[in-house]
This record gives sequence, C-alpha cells and structure tokens, in this order.
Amino acid sequence: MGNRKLYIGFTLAILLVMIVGGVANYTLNNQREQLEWVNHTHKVLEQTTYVERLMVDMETGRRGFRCTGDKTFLEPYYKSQPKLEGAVEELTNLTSDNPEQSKRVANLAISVERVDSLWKSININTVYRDDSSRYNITLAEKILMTAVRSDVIAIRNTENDLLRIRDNASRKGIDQTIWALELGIVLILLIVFTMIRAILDENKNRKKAEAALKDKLEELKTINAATLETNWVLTGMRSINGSLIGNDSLKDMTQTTLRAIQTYVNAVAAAFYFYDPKTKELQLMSALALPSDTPEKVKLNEGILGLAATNREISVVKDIPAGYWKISSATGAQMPDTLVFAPLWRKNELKGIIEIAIFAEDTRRLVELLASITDNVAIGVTAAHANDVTNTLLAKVQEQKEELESQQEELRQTNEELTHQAEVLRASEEELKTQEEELRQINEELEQRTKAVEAARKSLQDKAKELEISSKYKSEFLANMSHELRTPLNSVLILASLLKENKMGNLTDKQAEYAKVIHKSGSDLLNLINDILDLSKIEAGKVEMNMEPVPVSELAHDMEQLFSVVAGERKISFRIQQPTEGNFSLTTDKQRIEQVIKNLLSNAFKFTPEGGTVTLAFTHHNSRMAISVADTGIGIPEDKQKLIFEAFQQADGSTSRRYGGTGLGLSISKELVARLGGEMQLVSAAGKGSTFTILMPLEAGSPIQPKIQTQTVTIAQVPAIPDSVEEQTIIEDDKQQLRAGEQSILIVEDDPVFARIVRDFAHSKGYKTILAIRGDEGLYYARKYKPSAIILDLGLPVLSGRSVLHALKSDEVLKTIPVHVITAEDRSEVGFEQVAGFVTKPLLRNELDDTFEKIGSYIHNHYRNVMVVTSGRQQLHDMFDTLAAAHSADLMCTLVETATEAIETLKNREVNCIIAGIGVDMAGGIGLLKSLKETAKKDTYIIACLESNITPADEKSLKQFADSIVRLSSQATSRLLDEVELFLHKLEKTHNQPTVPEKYSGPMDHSLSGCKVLLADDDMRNVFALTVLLEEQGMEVITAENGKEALEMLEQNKGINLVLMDIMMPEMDGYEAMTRIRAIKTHAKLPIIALTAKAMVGDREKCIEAGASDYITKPVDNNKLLSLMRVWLSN
Amino acid sequence: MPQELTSELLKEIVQLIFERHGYDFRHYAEASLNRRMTRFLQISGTQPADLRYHITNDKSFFFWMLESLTVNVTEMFRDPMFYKSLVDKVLPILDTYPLLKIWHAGCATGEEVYSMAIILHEAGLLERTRIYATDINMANIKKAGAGIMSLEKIKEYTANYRKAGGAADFSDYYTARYDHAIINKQLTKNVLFSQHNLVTDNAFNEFQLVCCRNVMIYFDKELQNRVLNLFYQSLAPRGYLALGTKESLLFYDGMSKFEVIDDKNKIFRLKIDG
Repeated sequence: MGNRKLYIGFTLAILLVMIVGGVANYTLNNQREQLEWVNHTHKVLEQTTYVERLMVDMETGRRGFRCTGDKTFLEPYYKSQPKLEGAVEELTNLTSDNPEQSKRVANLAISVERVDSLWKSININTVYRDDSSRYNITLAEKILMTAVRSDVIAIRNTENDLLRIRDNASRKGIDQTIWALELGIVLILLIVFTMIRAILDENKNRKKAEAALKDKLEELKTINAATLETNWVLTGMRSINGSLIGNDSLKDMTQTTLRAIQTYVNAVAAAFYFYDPKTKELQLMSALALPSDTPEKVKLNEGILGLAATNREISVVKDIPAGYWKISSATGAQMPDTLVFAPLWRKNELKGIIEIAIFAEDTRRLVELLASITDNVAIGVTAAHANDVTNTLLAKVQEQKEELESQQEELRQTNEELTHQAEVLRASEEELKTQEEELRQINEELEQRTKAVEAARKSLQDKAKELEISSKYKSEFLANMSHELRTPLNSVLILASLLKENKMGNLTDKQAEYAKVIHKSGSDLLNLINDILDLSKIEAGKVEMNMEPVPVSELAHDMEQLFSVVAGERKISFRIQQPTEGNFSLTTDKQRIEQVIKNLLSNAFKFTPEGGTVTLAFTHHNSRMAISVADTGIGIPEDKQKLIFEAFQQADGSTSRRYGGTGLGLSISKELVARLGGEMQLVSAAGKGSTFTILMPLEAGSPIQPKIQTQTVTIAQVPAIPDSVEEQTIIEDDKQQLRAGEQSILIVEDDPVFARIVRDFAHSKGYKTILAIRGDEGLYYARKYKPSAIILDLGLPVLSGRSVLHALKSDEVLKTIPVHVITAEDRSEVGFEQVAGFVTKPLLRNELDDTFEKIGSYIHNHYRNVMVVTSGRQQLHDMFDTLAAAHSADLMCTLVETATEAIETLKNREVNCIIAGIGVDMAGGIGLLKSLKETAKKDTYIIACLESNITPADEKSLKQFADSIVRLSSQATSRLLDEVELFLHKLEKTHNQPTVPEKYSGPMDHSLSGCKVLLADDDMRNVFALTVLLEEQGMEVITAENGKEALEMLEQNKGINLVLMDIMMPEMDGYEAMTRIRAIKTHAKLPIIALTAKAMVGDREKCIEAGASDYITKPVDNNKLLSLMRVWLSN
Repeated sequence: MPQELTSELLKEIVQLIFERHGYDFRHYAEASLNRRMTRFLQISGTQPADLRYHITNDKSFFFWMLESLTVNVTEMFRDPMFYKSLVDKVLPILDTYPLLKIWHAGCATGEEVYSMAIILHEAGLLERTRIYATDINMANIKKAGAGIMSLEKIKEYTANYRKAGGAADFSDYYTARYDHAIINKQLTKNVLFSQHNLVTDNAFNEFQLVCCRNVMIYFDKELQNRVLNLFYQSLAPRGYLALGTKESLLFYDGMSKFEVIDDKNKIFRLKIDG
C-alpha cells in the first residue's frame, strides 16, 4: 500500500517538476524573444535616429552653406549624403517585418528623398542675391524636414509603443510564470512532505514487523533444534538403512553399516557381531578401531557384551574408566567414556549386536538413532546372511552349469568328429574288404604261376641237359664227318682247278671264267668247312695240343716270311717288333699259336687300306708275353667288338662280301688262345684301326679246360662294414686333405704299383683319392668318406672284391655309389647290373681313360653343384659345412668369399644353385645378384641371404635376380637346407617330366602386340605368371602391388591401354582403385578387367559397380583372359 | 509352439538360399546348421513354415539370418597351447623370411587375429608381416576392423594370454572405454580385413602361414576337402597350415602333401615334394 502511494507521489513530483521546468523554459524563451524584439526596436530607433542625424547634419551643412555661402560648411552634407541611402535602406530592412512600420519608413524615405532632391536641385554654385531665395529654400527645406521629423517621430513612437506593449506583455508573462512557479514549488513541496510522511510511516510499520519476526524466529529456532535432532536421527536412519542394501555379503553389510554408523555418529570405535544360533556365539563380523586382540567370538552372557546381547533394549554403560581402553591412540586424546550396545532382534530371535564407544553427551541421540534402526538392521542382517548362503549355493550351481555346458559343447563336437570318422572308417573298411578280395585272387594266381614256373624250369633244365648232350653229339659228329665232307669237295676242287688251267685251251673265255668261279667257290666252301670243323673240334675238346717251347724269334721269322709278300703286294708297311732284351720262349703249341697269329695278321691285312701299317709286336708283360697285331684299318666300332668273336658274326654283315673270310677265324682264334692258356684282347675304334693282343703265359701249366660256368658264388652272409680298421700307410693318398663336400674316388687295389698308377691317373683328372689295400679297409673307407666312385679289384686280401661288392650293394647308403671293377679275373660271377664298369688287367691306357670318363659323366649327371658366396658372413660358413655334410651323396659344394671369386668360379664351372650373402647395402647386394645371374647359366637357382629388414619395394628389386630370399635368423640353416631340397626336387621333376609351359593354344594373332597393360596384384605368383604370358604376346607389362601404387603407375605411365586389377589388396583395394580411376575424366573409358578370387553371384555386380569393364575369376584361365583382353582392346 | 525344423525342410531352405542369394550352405555339417537355424528361429520368432517366404522376399531378413548362421564364437588366445606352439615351433622359421604374408581365414570378430598380431609383435615379426583376415560375414569384418572387444571378457583373455606364455603387460595391448575395450591400433595396422567366402571363392594370394580354426567343424567332408585344397593352393613352398584342435586333415585327398609339426595343436607344414 505504501509503495503505491510512494510511486504516485514520485510520479506527481516528477510531473510537476517537469511542468515547472516547462513553464520556466517557456517563459525564459519568451523573455529572450522579447529581448530580441526590444533589441530590434532599439535598433530601429537607433537607425531612425541615425537617419535623423544624418538629415540634421545635412540640413546643418546646407544651412550653414546657405548662410555663409562657404562650401566648407557643406562638409557634413557631403559626409552624410552618401550614407543616407544606405541608412534608409537599412531602416527599411529592419522594419520589413512590421507592415505599418514599413509604411512609415517608406514615408520617411519619401520625405528624405524629397529633402535630398531639394538639396540636390540646388546648385551650390548659385550665388544668392537675396535672402528670399535662401528663405524659400530654407522654408521648403524646413517643411520637408518637418515631414521627415514627424515621420521619424511617428516611427519612434510606434516603436516605443511597441516596446511598451512588449514590455507589458513581458512583465505579465513573468508574473504569470512566477505565479506558476510558486504554485508548482508549493505543490512539489506538498507532495514531498506527504511522501516523507508516508515513508516514515512505512518505516515504523517495518520496524514493528521486524520485531514480530524476531519473536517468530526465536520460536522457530527452538522448533528447528528439535527438528534437527529428529532429522539427524532420520538421516542417520536413512544412511544406515541405505547401507543395508546393495551389499554383496553379510560381512560387507556389517562393514558398510558399521562404517555408516561410525561416520555418522563419530564414534571412536565400533564393532558388529553376528549371532550364530548354532554355536550360540557372537562372531565379530567387522570392527572399527578395535585392537587386534579383540575376541572374535563371544558367548552369550559373557562379559558386558554378552550380557547386553541378552537384552532386548539398548543398553548404555557409562563412566568407563580411561584405563579400560586398550584402544591405542597416537595423540593420547581423551577417550570416550560410554559404551552403547544395540542388540538386534527380529521376531524374538537375536541376530546380532552392535557395540559403539562414544562420549557421554552424544549418548541420547545415539540411543534414539539406534532405537530406530535396530529393527531394520536386524532384518538386514537376516537378509544378508540368507543372501550369503544363497550366493554360495548359487555360485556352486553356476560353476556346475558352466562345466556342463562346456562339456556338452565338447561332446557335441567330439560327436560330430566321431560321426565323421565313423563314416570314414566305414568307407575304408569297404575298401579294405575289396582289396582283401583282390589280394586273395592275386594270391591264387601267383600260386598257379609259381607252379607253372616251377614246371617250366624243370623242363628247361631237362632241355638244357638234352642240349648239352646233343651239342656234344653235334661236335663229335662234325669232327667225324670231316672226312665225309671233304672228300667230294676235294674232287670238285681238283677238277675245277684243272678246268681253270685250261691246258687245252679249248674253253671259251667265258667257260674258263666259269671254271675259275667254281674253283673259287669250292675253295671258299672248303675253307668254311675246315673252319667249322676246326671250331667244333676245338669246342668239343677234341684238339690235341702239342706243347713245346717255341722261341719268339722263330714265330716272328715265320710270320715275316709268310706275310711280307702280301704286304708288298698290297703296299702296306709290315713291321715286326720283338722284345729288346732277352730271348723268350713260349711253351705252347706252335702250330696253333701260329694259326692264331696268322689269322690275326690276315685280318689286319684284309682290313687295312693301301698305305696303311700292320704291326706285329712281341712284348714282355709281367709273366706273360703279349703278341699284338695292330693295323691302321677301318677299325671295329665298340658295340661290335664283342660280336666279332661270336661265331659267324662279322662287324658288318657285308664284310664277308667286301673283305672275304668266313667269319669264323676270330672265334677259332679265341678258343685256341683260351685252350693255350692265354687271353685275347681287342682295342679298336671305328675308323681308327684295331689292335688284337694275345697274352700268353710264358710258363704254362696244363692247357686250361673250359669250365662249365654255371656256379655262382653265393655269399651266405653280407659282410659287415667294419667300425674301425688299420689304415694302410703304404700308398699315399688324399684322405687327410679332404674337405667337407669334396668329391673323392676310392681305389681298392692290393697291387701297389697299379694302385699308384690309378691314383695318379685320378689326380690328373682332378680327383682326390682314397686308397685301400684290403677289402675290409675298402668297406670302411666307403662308409666313412662316401666317395663319388669306387675302383675295385676283385682279388683282395681279408675280404674278396666280390664280398666287398656284395656288401656295398646291400647297404642302403652305399649302394648308389658306382663301382668300376678292374681285375685280372674273369668277368664271370659278377652281374652286369652291379658294376658300372668292368675292365680286365693288364689294361691299356685308353681303358683307364674310359673308366674315368664313365666316372666323370656319372658325377656330372648325378651331382648337382652348389656355390655358397659368404661375403664374410660366419653363419654362411657354418651353414656350408652343414649342407655339405647333409648332402654329400648328391651335392658338390663350393665355398667362396667374394663376388670376384664367385664370378670366376661361375666362368669355370657349371653351378646349378647359388647361395649368396648380402649386406645392408641393398644397391650393392642387388648388384652382386645381378652379376651372378648374368654370369651363371640360364636356369641357375639363386638364393639371397641377408640380415636386415627390407621393404616390399626392396623385395621386388631383389626378386628380379634372386629366386628366394632368406633372412639369416637362428633357423636360417634349416630353411636353407629346405630351399636346396626344394630346388633339387624341382630339378628332379623337370628331369622326369619336363613340364611344357602352358602355351597359349588359341589362334595366333598379333592384335595384342605392342599394347601396354597395367597389372595390379599382390600375389607374386600371379604377377610372374601373367607377366610371362602377356610378354609372350608382345605386350608391355607394368606392375603394381596395391591400389595406391596402381594409381601412381597409371599417373606416371601414359599410354596404358588396359588395366588388370586384383580386388583383395592392401593399402587400397581393387574396388576403391577402380572407382578412383573412373573419377578421372581421361580414364572414364579405360578398359579395366577385375581379377577376383570371389566367385559369388553378387561379386560380379560389385566389380562392375566399382567401375570394372569386365571381370574374370582366379585362378585365371590364360586363354580366357587373352580373349577377354582382345575383346576390350579391339575397341 | 514352434514347429520342428526337419532335415528335409532344412535341405530345402539351404537350396533356396543358394538359388536365391548365392550363399552355399549345402555342404555345411547338418547337425550344427540345424541347431543354429533353430536358434535363429527362436530369436526371430519365425515359424519354419514361413521361412521360405521370408527368405525369398525379405532381403534384410535374409541378411539377419545370414549373420546368425555364420557367427562363430571366438576369444583371444583361444587354446593357449596352440599359440605357445606357434611361438616355439613356427615363428623361428618364419623369422627367416624377409617379408611375411599370413592368411587368417574365418576370423569372425577378430580376436584371434589380434592374438596373432600380439605374438608376432612380441617376436619382432609384426613389422614385416601382412595379415589378411577374411570372413564370410561382413558384420564380423566391420567389427573386427574396428578392434572392439567386450570389456568383461578381458580378464579371461589375460588369463589365456598368460597360459600361452605371454609375459608382457596385457593391458598395454588395449585401451578400456566405458563398456568395451579397443585393441591397440599399432597391432592392426598391418592387417587387411576383407570379406571372403571359403565355400565359393578361390585362392587370392600365396602365404607362409594359413590359419583357419574352428571353422571347418561346421563343414561336411566334401566341403572340408575343397577348403583344404584351397588352402593348399594358397600356401608358399614349405608353408604352414594351422587348424583348430578338433579339426584334422583326414578328409583331405592331398593329406600326404603335409607333414605334421604339432599333432595335438594341429599345425602342419607343406612337404618339399608336396
């Protein structure tokens, strides 16, 4: 109420002030205006006066002049006259606002004008004769001036009137204003006073209200205090109740509750005991600030606590002595002196008890608080306890459930597996059954066959016996038949000879010719029969040898006599060489030996052309005489050499036609020589002549009867390879200088002379040798050094050569080593398959040559060459040793340190595989690999080894020259061994099944040639294969490893005609790459073929959507790809 | 009460899926497929009789079903002994390769890929490895790519990691957010996640290690043979193949091409003449 009044008052006051102000303002403005008007009036008056004065001056002047006639009196006239017009005009201006006044001024102006004109009309030079003219003029002047004066006065009066009016008005105005102001001020003062009073009243009221409030406040305070306390209790209740929920276990609950109580009440110490009805004990669940020796369990009625627990009410124990407290306190502050016990009862059951230690003054409210919560806490305890029990049970159940579940899952999976396996088993059972059946059948068949074989063998045996008998009969028969055959033939010959002579001369030339032919044919036939009979006789053993000492010189002489003529006739030089020292005699059948030599010589002469040489040489060899017949004829090719000794065989079927002969000579010679206890050997090559050598013993025993060669020496047991042996020291060899991986040849020969010869020969061929002089020693070395080849003599001490051979071929590891037998013994009893070569002693130089050639080619074909370039890396040294040891049977390993050495080695030798170490310098490494690749043969497998990390770009560069890259970590040796094995395996495969690279099989056309293709794929196999395919078609291929690189390549290489884009690539996949390519305007029409492994229906769409022109699935069919590319490039 | 999903009906449905959407479940192991389908029916509240209709006409329904059929349970360092074996027997050999490519087929939500990345990292091999992680289920791939894992399982994973021989602080490998954990980005920066269907798609690269665990138990023999052959074509010479502990090479025609590195943990290696 008061406020409104105040506002009204204020508003009024302000209004009034404003009014007053306005009025004052108005008045003052008025005053100013008035003032202006006054000014104006004064101005007018002034001007009027001025004009008047001017006139007066002028008048005076003229009068003066008139009076005196002195022009000097005109001075004021002349001074004022010019100013007059201006002054009048000025006055006119000043009064322009007042029309009346203006009129007056105008009148004045006219008056003035008149006067002026009058004066002007007077000629000043006129001399006045009398005063009348002067008097007239002056009268006129006076009249006019009076008019002027009256005008002036009129104006002046008017102005003064105006002034007065204005003055009055002004005064009136001021009076009014003063009145108004006074009124206004009075009003304002009134209002102000009223307001003051109102305010004062308000204040008074306020004060009264304040006092009332104060009283009320006091009241409230008291109520508040009471409420606070209640609140305190309630809040306490709430927080404690709050602490009752959300606990995981009883212990937690007691802890939280106790803490809540303690914090709330600021108890010094507190304890919460749980009552276990089973043991009738109070268990300490949680405690705050109690000493550690506080009893965990308290029985009912025991001590204050136990006693308090039996109560239903809260009990308070006061005045606890300070010494009671075993609570230690660092500050030694005053200890509380009251204990409060709150037993927790629920439904007549004790659940627990809370003990709290506090100060006495806080007891009351604590008791109140406790009283209000004990019920809830009791419930809480019950619930928590029950919860605990439930939880434990639940956890158990959960555990079991989980176990069950996982077991179930496992069972399920195992079940599935079992089902699968059962099916597989069933299937294989079926297979097995069928196989069993088959086997049974095969078994039966085999049995039958064996029976048949047995029968066949028996019959063969019988047949063989029969054959033997019959052949004996045959020979006997032939021998006996000689006479029968020869007799008729003889007649034929004699008669033919006679005819041939044509003694009578009565035959025609032709008839003589016929006779000659008949004779010749007959002779031939006779020779043939002779030879056959001879041979069969010899074979049948029906030939008697007449052994006697035959001097060599005699033989030589006989032969010379026999053949020098023939030699001369045929223009062939015939030489005879006899041993230089000593006279040798052969104990032999002269006739037969001569027969043989004759046969050989006649063959030699037969097959040697004109100008050739036939040499008969007698040389002493050990204990034998070698009689050799050498010619420079057509020679005998190797494959025919055995053949010619067979009966009826000649080197070439047409030989007999060209050269004559029965073809039996050599067979007979061979048999004869054998009978005489000698050996026959042949060295010849086609076109290079032949040398037949007979080796005859100088001291012959009884002529050797042929043995029936059917026994094979069966060695019951495979001799064991000895673990140690006394190593021979007679002959020097290279076993101490052998390095791992170096190839060697084992020579097992008990004749030191020959052994050295072979050894030196081996050295000359570049091989290292190991020499053994006994059979067991030979076996020992074979196992220890695993040589590349073995040269084996059969006649060895301790263990015979045959046993050694048997042992070698029975050993898994050693059986692959080729064995070359060089022996004095017979070929017999040594299977062809078992030895790589068989040479009889004494052998000639070229036989040794041949043997080593065979060894050499075996090594070459069998062994692969691996070169390791260490570049100073120890790890590669170690790896080399391991490699050489592991592959001694099939690898020849070479170790070099530097690039220069490596290149040198490559130039001198064929290397199949190179393992090269590379350092941190990538450029240097690539340089090394490049030079290696360029120097080595085309398909050499190169493995690069390095320690450092490389980027994919590095890998790409390295892969240009290296087939495989190995990082030298701890397992590098194992990996390198694997790589070598892989490479060997690959070689093996290409050897056995040379893979014809899948050639493009479509129509040959060159539409793709010259096109540039961008291939983006991160699968190196694919990249390699496709690059080869496309380059074959004459295309240029640019590769990228991922989408990002593809875009870069597209940017850098202009003129790309087509893109092959893989989809799954890192950094940026094919979809994204294609989308980006299409976003570039120039590439909107660029053909892009997507290569994808994804074959689902929607994938094609996805590719096309991303921007592919077409797509093809991996693995890529080359033909299909090419035709697809052709389609897209033809546009 | 839901109808039973009979074997015949399942076969029909599978055929329909193949014809309509191109996904080939015809060679999945029947028992497990049936279980999953039944579970899906329960979850989606569909009657078996209505399946045909939904599959044919409702594409989003189909994809929902697809996801539930191809979800595989996985965890980090599943079968810890397997990882230990990898570390002891395989990684030292892989160390000899300057650059490595590993294919993790059927990676599900990626936990096992992260495990692989961790053991590679601890062996110092992660920098030079590119891991290709594929799965048939695109949702899985996305999740795997995001690197998200359930936070409550981390305890279990840590235990597994320890059992596998891990000695580092496992929490270094992930960051915990409010309700999930994210695998450290450094570990997955060399991993390429993409979709690939083992049933229909072909080999797309050559790897030193192919890892496919607990995927083939859901395939029948024929499909297992096909998939194993696909792996064979994806392996570099002397490459390694790792399968789940309950799986085997038994159903593969080319079984003899592999030698056994660890029989219990099913780690195999291509022979030289393989």
